[in-house]
Amino acid sequence: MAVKQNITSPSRTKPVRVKRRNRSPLSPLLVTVAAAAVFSGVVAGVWQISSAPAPEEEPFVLGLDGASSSSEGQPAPAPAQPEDGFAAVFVPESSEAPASPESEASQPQENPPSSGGVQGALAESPRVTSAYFDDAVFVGDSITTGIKIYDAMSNTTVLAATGINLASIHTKPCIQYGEETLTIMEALARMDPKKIYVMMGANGLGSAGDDWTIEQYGALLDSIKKMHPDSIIYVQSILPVNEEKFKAKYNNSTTNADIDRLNERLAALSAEKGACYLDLASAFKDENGAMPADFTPDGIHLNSAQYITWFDYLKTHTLVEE
Amino acid sequence: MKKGMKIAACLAAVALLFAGCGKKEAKTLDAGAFVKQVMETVSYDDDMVELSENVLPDYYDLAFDGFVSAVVYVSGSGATSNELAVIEVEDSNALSDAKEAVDKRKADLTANYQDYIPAEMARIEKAIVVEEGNYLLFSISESNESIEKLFRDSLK
Repeated sequence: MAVKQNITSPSRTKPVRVKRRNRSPLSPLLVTVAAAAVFSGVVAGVWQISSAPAPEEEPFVLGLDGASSSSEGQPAPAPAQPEDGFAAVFVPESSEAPASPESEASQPQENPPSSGGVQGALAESPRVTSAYFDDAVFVGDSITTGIKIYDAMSNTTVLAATGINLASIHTKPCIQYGEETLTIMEALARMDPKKIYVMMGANGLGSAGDDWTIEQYGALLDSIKKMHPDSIIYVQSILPVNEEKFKAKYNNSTTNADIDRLNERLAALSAEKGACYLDLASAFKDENGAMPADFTPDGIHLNSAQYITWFDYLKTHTLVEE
Repeated sequence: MKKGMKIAACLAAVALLFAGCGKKEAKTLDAGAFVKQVMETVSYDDDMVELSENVLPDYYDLAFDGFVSAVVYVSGSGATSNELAVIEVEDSNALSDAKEAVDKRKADLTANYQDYIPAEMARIEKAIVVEEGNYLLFSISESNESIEKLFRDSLK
């Protein structure tokens, strides 16, 4: 016999009371103050971030493309700073055994002997060996990256990147330094070179203007000198171009006469700043003062063989201790 | 007996059917030979240079698990963005890391050339990345189709 189960729901006989928390009359005020504090903190943080010094903007589009250039004195819109860059540092793990060089470098002289060519250019000196570049750093743009790519001097250090100009050398992170990506100047600050070879100015030909170039180059040399006061600073001239190829490839009408004028100012600047000016351009000029067509794929960059010519010149133009 | 013969025949047929199905051998590529063939047959408007082992890390982040080897050619002068890279990894799991390295390299090239030689952007944007087996091909050139075909044909 089935058992009937009576299931009854509990009945509510008592009214339900909603307990209210005891509220302090100050609660709304405290909440308001807290909200105001948080809001102020956010605004302050945003203001701090937005008022951080912005990287120096380039007054011109400093590429090789002459079509994108601006005339001197007419600032063009500054190009957007790239977020990432091109890793181009080669620090040798070991260098050649330091053979006795045929000549030794000394502290920078105020008036280095002139070559008799470009006023103020370093004169020819006894040849040194490749070991001379063990403690050297080469700073520059895509032309300088070729030293590493072509393995022209495997024992030296190259701080260079494609597209670097006299503005972005300070601002564009492009050097892989361990886990960090640094600007060329940041990377240079972390090194201890005895010689610093600089070659800049090609990215800006026909667009930046000579006055701006010299001004920025002077600032660069000041920065390097401050960073490494005991290092020899060699300023390498801007190389000549093959005008026909240069014009065809980049629509850039810069002539070798333009470059020679700029180099003369660069030589004077180097003397003023206590740097040694190297008339490297002379090693690449033909009888017309131009880069031969077979030296360059596009009128301005160098073929691999020319890096031998480059270092051949450098080995015979070093600061000699008197 | 007849039934037994029939069963045996069926089993034999099934066995023969699966006999051809063995473990697939992974395709291999002689990267050096492939790249050499590319350099000989494809016309680049630039002097292409092979990056040495000690310089390669400055261009590609290949310090990941499963990396085996890489052969990379770049523009020697910097006048163009032409590039050719073949990366070999241990297995397909590492392919994503190789792809990441290549993507970063492409971003670097974009950053370099967009203001420097803007005309190169068109070439960079047409870059190809091809994954096949344990190999990844990255090519920036005017002959990407030919290079990709050569790549696939070279895999054995």
